[in-house]
Amino acid sequence: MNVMSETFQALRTMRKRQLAHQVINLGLIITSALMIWKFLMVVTHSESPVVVVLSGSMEPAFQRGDILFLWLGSAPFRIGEIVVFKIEGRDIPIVHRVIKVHEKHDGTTDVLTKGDNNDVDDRGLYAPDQRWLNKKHIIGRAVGYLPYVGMVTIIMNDYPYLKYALIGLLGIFVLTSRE
Amino acid sequence: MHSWTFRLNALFTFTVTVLAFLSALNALSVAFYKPVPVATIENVKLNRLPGSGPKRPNAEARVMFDMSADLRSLFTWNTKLVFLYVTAEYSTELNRLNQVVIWDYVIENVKDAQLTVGKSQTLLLPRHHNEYPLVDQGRGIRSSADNVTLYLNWCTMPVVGFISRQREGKTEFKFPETWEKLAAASK
Repeated sequence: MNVMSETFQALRTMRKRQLAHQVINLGLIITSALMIWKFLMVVTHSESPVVVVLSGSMEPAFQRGDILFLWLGSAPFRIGEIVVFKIEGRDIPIVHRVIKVHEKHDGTTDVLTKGDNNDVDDRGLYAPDQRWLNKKHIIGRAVGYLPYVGMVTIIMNDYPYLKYALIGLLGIFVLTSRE
Repeated sequence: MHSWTFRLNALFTFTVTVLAFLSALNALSVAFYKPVPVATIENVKLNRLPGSGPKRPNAEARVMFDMSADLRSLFTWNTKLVFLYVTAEYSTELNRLNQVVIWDYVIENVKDAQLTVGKSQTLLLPRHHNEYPLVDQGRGIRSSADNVTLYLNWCTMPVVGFISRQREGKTEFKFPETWEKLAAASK
């Protein structure tokens, strides 16, 4: 409780100008995070440049909680690439490997995917009557890998109160910290 | 100023910074490393042609091959595993490029990175090993005059850093136009 009252004291004794300064600081942190994200979207051509692996379907390559850095670009899809795709009617994107590529003469491509750890291909995961993935379904290819770190977001999604507590705590910290 | 929250924050920030820096160094340390893998694939044979009936929408075949690879040089301190896969590639009237995986295998340890698969030496691949039939999109693989090429490919998964793909060792074979005859002959 000592910390709470100290924090409160710190906020109360601040002059108006300093308070404004701290609020702007907080805003700056939030907007620069947003800017970095949007910048990455532009550079990678991907609507979601960083994703967290949510399932064990790509084990042993990826475990739940690993982070993947995506790149979409405009190169044609090739076999063996690990792609992240979205299926109509499903919110959560899936990370799986391309096991079949059929490239038409006009450049459009049919792709089939499968999780390394799954026994069958992904046709069961696609929309009803959907047999292939096309460019419009794919939001990126995995190019970079960082283990474990995504566990933080998984835990925060599982326990939303923890997320609010953490955001609140960080907010207070930024507001009360002095040079 | 030196409250415990302040100290905790400083410690946390320092730990994360050091970890991020070391991870980046680790990823960069192998960025210019050139592995020297040896891989050959040969003696392709068509085995069983279950989809050869004219009523099937997609032509299908089981493909056998001999393969040997020494991928030990792919294993550096930043290699988590190597995903090894064999692809069949060809062009048809319908598609200018078809790529189909017909076999894959996960190598998790450098000790397992030397392997031979084929009729002379049968390697037991207990885990993470799959075989797939070669299924065409349509039936063009039968009528197309092009040769089918088999490639040995691998995807190197890092401990932290960049995922990379490579291919080596190819062999070509031709699909016969009359499969029924071949199916009978291969029995």
